[in-house]
Amino acid sequence: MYEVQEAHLPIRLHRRRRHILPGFGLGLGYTLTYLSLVVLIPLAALFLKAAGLGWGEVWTTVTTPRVLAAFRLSFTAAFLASALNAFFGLLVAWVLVRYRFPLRSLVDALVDLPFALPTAVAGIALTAAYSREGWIGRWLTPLGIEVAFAPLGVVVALTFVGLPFVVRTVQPILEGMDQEMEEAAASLGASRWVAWRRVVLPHLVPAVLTGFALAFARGLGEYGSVVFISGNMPMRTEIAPLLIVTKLEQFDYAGATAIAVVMLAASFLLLFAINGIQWCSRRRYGMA
Amino acid sequence: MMDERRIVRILLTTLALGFLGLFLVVPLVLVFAQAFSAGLGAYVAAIAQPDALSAIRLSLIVALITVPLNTIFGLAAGWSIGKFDFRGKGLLVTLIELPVAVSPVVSGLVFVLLFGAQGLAGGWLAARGIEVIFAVPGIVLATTFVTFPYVARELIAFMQSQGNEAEEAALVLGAGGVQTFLRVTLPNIKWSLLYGVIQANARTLGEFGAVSVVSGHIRGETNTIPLHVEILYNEYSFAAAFSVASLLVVVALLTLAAKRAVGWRAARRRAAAERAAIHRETGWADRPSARTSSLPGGRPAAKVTTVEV
Amino acid sequence: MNVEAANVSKRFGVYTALDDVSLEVPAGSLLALLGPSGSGKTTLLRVIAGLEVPDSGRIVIGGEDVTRRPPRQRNVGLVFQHYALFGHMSVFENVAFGLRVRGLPQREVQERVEELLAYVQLEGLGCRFPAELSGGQRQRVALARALAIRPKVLLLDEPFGALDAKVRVELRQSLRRLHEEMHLTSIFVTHDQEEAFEVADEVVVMNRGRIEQVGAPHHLFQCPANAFVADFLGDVNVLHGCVSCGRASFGGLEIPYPEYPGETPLPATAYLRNHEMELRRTGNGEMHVAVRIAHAKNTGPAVKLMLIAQPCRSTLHLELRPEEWERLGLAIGDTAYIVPRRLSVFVTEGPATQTTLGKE
Repeated sequence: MYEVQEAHLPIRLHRRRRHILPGFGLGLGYTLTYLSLVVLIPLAALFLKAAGLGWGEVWTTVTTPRVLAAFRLSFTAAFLASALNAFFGLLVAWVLVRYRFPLRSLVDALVDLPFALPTAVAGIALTAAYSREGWIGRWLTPLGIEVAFAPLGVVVALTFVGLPFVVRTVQPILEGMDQEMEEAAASLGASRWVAWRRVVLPHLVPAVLTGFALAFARGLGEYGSVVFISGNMPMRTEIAPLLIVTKLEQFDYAGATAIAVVMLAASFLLLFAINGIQWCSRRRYGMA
Repeated sequence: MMDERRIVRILLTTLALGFLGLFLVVPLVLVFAQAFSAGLGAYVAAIAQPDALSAIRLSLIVALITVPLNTIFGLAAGWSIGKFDFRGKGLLVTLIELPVAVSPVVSGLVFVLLFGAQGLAGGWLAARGIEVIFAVPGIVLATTFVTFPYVARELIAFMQSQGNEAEEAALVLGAGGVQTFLRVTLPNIKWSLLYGVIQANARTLGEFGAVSVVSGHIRGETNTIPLHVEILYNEYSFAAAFSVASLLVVVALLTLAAKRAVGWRAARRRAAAERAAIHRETGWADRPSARTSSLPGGRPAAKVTTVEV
Repeated sequence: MNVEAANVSKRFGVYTALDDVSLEVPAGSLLALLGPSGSGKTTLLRVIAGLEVPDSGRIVIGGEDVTRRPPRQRNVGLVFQHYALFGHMSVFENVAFGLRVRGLPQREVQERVEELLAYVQLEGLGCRFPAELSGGQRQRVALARALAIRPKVLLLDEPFGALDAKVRVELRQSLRRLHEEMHLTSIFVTHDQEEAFEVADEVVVMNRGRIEQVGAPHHLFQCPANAFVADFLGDVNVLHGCVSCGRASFGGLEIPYPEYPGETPLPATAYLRNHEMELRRTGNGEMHVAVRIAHAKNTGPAVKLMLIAQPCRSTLHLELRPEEWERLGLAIGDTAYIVPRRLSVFVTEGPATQTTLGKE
């Protein structure tokens, strides 16, 4: 029914031909083969190994106090960091899109730094900054706030790695948003704050949620930046990915596999959640 | 245009910049401050050290293998997914995105389970004297996994937005499949392609978690730049660690700058395309030069953009 | 070269774009495919170009069956609706593309492209890029590019659709002129009947994947084959009524309808064109419809009236010259009479009848 849709959609739907453009079979064949070799078969190996262990043993491993503590820290820290990023990400996106200030485009570019900067480098830099004598840590220590080598350090590291997600999901929506809506709200007597909360915010919620989920997924699996700042104390500042590495170093492949399977399942769930949010918001607002 | 009061604007801007300063600028400046804390001589010495040089060499070799591999894959995926409709396309895209959501440590682990001494294929490999884990092939594999989606996702999104008309026009004019791809499609997607390659390259050079699991940390042999930084740091050679790390920071900054430049080119093309689309919509045919819109530099594939005509 | 489509069908999933379409385009003619969105006209054009493979049926160009031939071997010129110019190539390279992929020597390419650019009045713009051109100029580049390969047939998809009103009218004339000079068999798609009627020798009206009627513009206008064609060709007023016992009645208006002698009344519609009816103060017996004047608006050159037919409450629109309106001396709310000179009656499932009513 493409001709009918054409008339109503602002941007034309493109017709797709299966037979006329060449190379579909070759392209898809290569895509599927490469995907299977690099991603699917290796991931299947993990499930195969876990199945070989038996789900009973997987359960026993992941419910030991040390593993449970690691999972609790990973999930809590990832949640807190993503929540922090949801708030500040929204703020940063708003300021970048709506306000003009010196060096704005430099700041805009800098937001991507955590995407480009290797996590290990981020880890040592944050540790140096937030340790007791560090540039930031020295101001926090007198207040009794310990960041480096404490659970708070994990949150700081995860905030860093997850920082760009919310900004980058919210920014395009905000740029595409018609300010007439806000003006309409104002003309109807809404104060600036009410207009923002009732008119602007609802439009940004799907993007904020998507960004939150992306940051959460990233934070959950993050390893490089955390191992330096957390101190890696069992039961206190040890995150789940680190525990996998520890088990591997002790040649406890079964233990590592058990934890990894749980982590992978969490990744899958988050990926589905993200796709779900985007699907819903596309239906509702016609954009993701 | 309606706006907040000046005081609110200043307050919000300060808060946002304060947050970014605390989390981005301080660590960035700190790396260089620490790197040069022992003087320029020590900085150069730390980088010129044989282990550091071999780490740099290995990182470059890994990038030279994985980036082209993932680029070829990205082109195949972009063509078949971006230009054609078929059942299960959404699932395929999700599967391609999968490695981004997987913990790097888990990414490394799967290869240990496959090719390690105890792994599924471990015995077979050992019998033939092929080393994968704790050797370069393992590092290449794990890095390929981690950086797998970067080129593909850019190209899929971009090619999808471009439609097939240009290719169809080429076919009707008598061009063959290969000619159409090389002379019409490739020039069209080049900025997007470059953008994906730059991202993949940055991730490849900086990958830590996955590589750390499969590398075995053998100095001078299986250490990449980030692993070398870790070793120096754990040996309390802080200045040396930050010196080597500063190389990666420079790469990251160059990547941001390149992304910015490429994103700007892509945005300009996109704006031109959208302007054309608006000409179509409104029939404002005879306005050849409209102002270019300002687009976010971060993602040239931004889904929603405003165009002033 | 003549083009023939024989029993062509094409489905996209559950949607039927072309339903057993057969069409013959004689060599050298200029034909319009006219229809609303979704009528399958663009699909038919793409099937001829080879960009769609029909599910069944044949396409014959110049006596050769090309159904299974890929587009690159058909040698047709296609002007895309949105031109599909290659944005990374200059105007010159766009026009040269088809010649270059055929491996023509540079000298020949140069000559042919310059000749074509001159023909479409774009000399000197060869170095420009498509983004630097206006809509009308882009369209001419697309046309030159399609003509460069010396096609057997020229196909144009909504050639005027993306342009503004003024450029549109100019280009209609230039397409007509081009066709008269080149005698190239040409088919163009449009949804605008004025465009189709003004430019084409012959018009094919399409609807829901089928051809409703083929004919010269005046023929379609005077003898629409069915209700769809009458309706689509525009500016008609519709009266609802019924037929029985060889007569059709539309509230007050009774005309003979010998095609249906049956006694059970069947629903019917009558189509009246604006210029085929007259407004009067008094009726003339049975050949009239009583109307109430609901609205009158003097727009300068014409007075636009909205009339409500008294018995069936259908709304009629009529335009009069201001002098005529003044002479009638009617006002809003008055009752007047419509006397049709000619009308088309369609009975659901019945044949169409054009009735020319004698003057008085």
